[in-house]
Amino acid sequence: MRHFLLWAARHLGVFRPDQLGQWLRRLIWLPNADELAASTRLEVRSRLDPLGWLAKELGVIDKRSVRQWMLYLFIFPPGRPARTETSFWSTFLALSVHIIGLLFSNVVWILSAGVRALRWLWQRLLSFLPTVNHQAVGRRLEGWLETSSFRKPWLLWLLVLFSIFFFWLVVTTPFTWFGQFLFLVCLWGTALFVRRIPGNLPALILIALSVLASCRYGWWRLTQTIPLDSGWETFLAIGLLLAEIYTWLVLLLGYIQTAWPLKRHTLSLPADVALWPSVDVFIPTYNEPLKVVEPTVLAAKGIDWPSDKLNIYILDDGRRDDFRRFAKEAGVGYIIRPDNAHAKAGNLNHALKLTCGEYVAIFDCDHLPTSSFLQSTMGWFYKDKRCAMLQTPHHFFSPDTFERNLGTFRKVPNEGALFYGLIQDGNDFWNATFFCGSCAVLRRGPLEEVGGVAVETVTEDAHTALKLHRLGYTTAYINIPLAAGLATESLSSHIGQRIRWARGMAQIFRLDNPFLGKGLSFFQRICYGNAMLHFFYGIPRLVFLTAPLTYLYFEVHIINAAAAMLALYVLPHILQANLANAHIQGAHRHSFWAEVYESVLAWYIILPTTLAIFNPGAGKFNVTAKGGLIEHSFFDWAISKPYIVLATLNIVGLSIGLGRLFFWNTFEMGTVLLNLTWTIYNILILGAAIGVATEARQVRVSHRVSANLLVALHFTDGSTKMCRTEDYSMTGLGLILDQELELPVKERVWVSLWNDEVEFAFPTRVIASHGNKLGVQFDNLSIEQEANLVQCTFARPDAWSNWSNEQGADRPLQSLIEIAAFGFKGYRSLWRNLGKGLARQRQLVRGWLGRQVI
Amino acid sequence: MFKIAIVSAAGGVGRSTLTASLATLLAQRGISVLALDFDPENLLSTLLGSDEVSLGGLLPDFLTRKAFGMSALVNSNEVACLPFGRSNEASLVTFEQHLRTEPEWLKKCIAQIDYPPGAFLLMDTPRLPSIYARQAMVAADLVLAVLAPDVRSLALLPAVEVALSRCAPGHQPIYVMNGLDSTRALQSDLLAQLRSSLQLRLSPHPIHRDEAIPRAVANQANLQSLSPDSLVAHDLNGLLSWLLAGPASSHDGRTYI
Repeated sequence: MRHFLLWAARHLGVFRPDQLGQWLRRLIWLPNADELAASTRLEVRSRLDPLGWLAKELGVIDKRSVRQWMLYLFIFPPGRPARTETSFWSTFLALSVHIIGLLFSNVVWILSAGVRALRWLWQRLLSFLPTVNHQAVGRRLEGWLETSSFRKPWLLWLLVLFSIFFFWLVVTTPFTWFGQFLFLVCLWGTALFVRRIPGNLPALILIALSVLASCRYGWWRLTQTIPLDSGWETFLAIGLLLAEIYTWLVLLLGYIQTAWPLKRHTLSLPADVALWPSVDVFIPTYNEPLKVVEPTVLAAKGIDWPSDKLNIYILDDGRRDDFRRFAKEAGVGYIIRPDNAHAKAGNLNHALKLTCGEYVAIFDCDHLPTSSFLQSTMGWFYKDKRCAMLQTPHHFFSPDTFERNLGTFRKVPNEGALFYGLIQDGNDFWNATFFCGSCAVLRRGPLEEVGGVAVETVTEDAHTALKLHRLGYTTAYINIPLAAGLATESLSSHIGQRIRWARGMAQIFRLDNPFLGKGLSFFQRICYGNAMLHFFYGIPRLVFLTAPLTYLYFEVHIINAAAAMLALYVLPHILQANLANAHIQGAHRHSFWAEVYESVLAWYIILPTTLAIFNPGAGKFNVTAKGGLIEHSFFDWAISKPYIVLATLNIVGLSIGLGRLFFWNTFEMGTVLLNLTWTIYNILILGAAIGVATEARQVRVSHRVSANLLVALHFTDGSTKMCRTEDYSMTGLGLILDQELELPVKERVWVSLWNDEVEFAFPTRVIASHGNKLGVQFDNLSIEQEANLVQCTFARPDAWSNWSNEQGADRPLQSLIEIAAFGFKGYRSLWRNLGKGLARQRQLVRGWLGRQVI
Repeated sequence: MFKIAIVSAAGGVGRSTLTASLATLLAQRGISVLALDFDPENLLSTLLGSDEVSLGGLLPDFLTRKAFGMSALVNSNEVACLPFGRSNEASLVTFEQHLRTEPEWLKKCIAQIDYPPGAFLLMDTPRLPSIYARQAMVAADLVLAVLAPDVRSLALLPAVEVALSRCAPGHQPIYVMNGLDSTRALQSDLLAQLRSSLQLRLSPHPIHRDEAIPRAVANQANLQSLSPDSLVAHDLNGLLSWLLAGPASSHDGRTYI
């Protein structure tokens, strides 16, 4: 102690170590040279003992007695005459009481005060944050950035250079484990704070943090962790590295794509209706049943637009007589062609030649437009004369296969929600809104200029938009559901549809690569590029689902780093990406659900995308089947085969890993634990994927949409009753009455519904009556009545506006727990169905044997 | 006081019933209301719950030179009703003669009534053309023409307008359809036709034909408490709210649509 003090005094230039003031002065000012020289001499001469000095000051007599030091430090006031004779017990008692008192009165008080102050600050901050109008702040900042003082190019370049320099510094500086740990904590703490603030600016901050963490991880991975000793190890390591580079690239491109969602509003049309343009509505169909197409046509007929300027055409590639009859009855156009060349795209192009409206609105045959569809969308074509296409979201009122089989309908955002809720809005900011084939309006002129709808690829819609963008046209997106349809019914048809999208995107990537060719802006290239790259997730996803197995099975170290270090580097990367995405996408996709959605499809899109890259011409267009019915619950063994294999591999890996953890590889427990965690995560995700393959039975033929609409019942005795709907469909209504009412089944009742003050009555029969609930079924509606029914229900302008209100907010941890639960359920279902399947198999075998005996 | 004359060119469209229902509903919303029966049929008091046909009323008062409004009755729903009173051929001839010589007789009489501000006066009249309806239209701030969902109403539509323009030049009636059976396609079509020709002058709340009304009259009960969830109760509420928010909202009395 003494030596240290003297050493410090010498180096600081304190020549009178007993003076506190000098210490303080020397801590701040350096002594000049001769003072320093004097101090060394002085120090040698005086050799003061600080402990002795302290003892003298306090009054301690015996410097070696700890008890005395304690007494004089804490109990006796300084300057008290020294007492050598004190009873040991009394001083001990006094000492402990005093220490306890000190602890409680001072330390606790200081601590709690500190905590209280911090908490108060935190709460003030939290209560302050929501009151700030973040949109306004964002706008002000934007406006500020656009003032003349900020528009100087040199300033911009200076800022960019500055940022790049610091970015590079942070990304490439190697840290010790402790430094990297601090880096993790700092980033995470900042992100946890920033993520509570809504708005675009905090999202950008989170993106910046995430990019920083991911790039740092990437740099470290690339420069420090590639094993180069054995060929086999290096090969696997590079495979994992490539998969990681892919996800890293898609993450970065995705951030750019969704950096600033545009959130376009509707624009009003000129007051003079005579100025409104003529619109052709195309409803292409191939093999869908009439009962699916009928409501769409009737809804399209009800679109609020001057009737002499609205022409509706059914484009029937199935060339069916009942469709022709229905078209005539409904008073809409019916167009067929001799062949089915180029499927939907060819069908649309054929109709383009036969019609002449200034605009073309396209609806898939199961997408019912609301009556306000054209009035809400056409305004933008007036504002922007270069606008060639306006897209609206594809909204689905029936649960898709994930929602039905996992039971998450209207609770968790579905797979399409991310694209239509966020990505298209993000694309719109960069003028890169894609055409999605339905629920869109196109200007005829530009469409004919690019040669109609593209036929070179199977995703004709996105390719058409790409061609329009190459010619310098703009596109727009309005994120208001103005049409709604049926989601794909079964997992197999869902996969079929996604395979087509993946193949089409790969084809465009190969034939008309957005990164090459003329006419696109840099950001348009990024938006298109990301949309296409996104569909190549098949192989990387499989790599991630199997990567930890290489270690668990064969003890191959594909990442050449200590487990703790790897965790310290990979954690910020994963954490920040998840936090940033939860903030940006939270309302449209809950955390970790992307893994489930992708894992289900990964295996199936590998082949089509790879094939399309090498031979873009191969493969044919397959139509997405809709409007079917799954009559019995069943387990789709054929579809779930790849997940079952993967899950089995992972579970075996897990058991081997447990062996390694406790017996064989105890010397590298960190590595084993890391791989085990990864495997467990994979097993849960695969379980959820298996759960999706358990096809739940569908109870109703036509989907019921829950809604609270005013209804009047007209009974046969002339009395009436007002009530409200619980749900509606094209075939019936579920009603809730104020009081209990028992009605005989099959009783005739007329039901009135309102469409904006105009009442329409429909004949129905009671099918169920229980308590205050009543179910009625429509009784032979005429086409006109069906049209009115559509207008009162599916085609109401506000029919879909509050759809996602009941959805919970995204809470990452909650989401993970939810998915884990679905994973367990998936395995349970697999187990049960396995039993059933085996029993059936055994019966078959027994039957076969029995026959043999006879 | 806001004065509404309820008229129609066709008979049997339910003027008296509508007057009584509206009066009851107004009283239920805490608005003072006087239902004035200016129809020799003398039915309004019965519809408002009087046990027997009122003998006294404005005609006997007139003949005996009593002050106007002395025979008003008040029912349990706080609706004041001034019946027409018992009449015979001779008394009607005398009365009508007087009305012919003094076209503003009713208007003057009403002006004498001391009634709280914000109160409503509903006048039930015989079918047009009628000297009684004429007097009521002259006195009224607003003329509510009742239409039946049949072709008669459509054909007689101009008759109401002509009658009103004679009594109060520059004024237009507002219309309400009564007795609609929306399960009949023909009636709905007729309503749509009227809606497109009359536009905002037709109440968006047609009154449906409903068993709840005769049931309420037969039970001498209040419609709103007997069958609150009936369609007609919903319609009447809608009509009244529409009247109070639109045509009957102007304070100076006269309405211009």
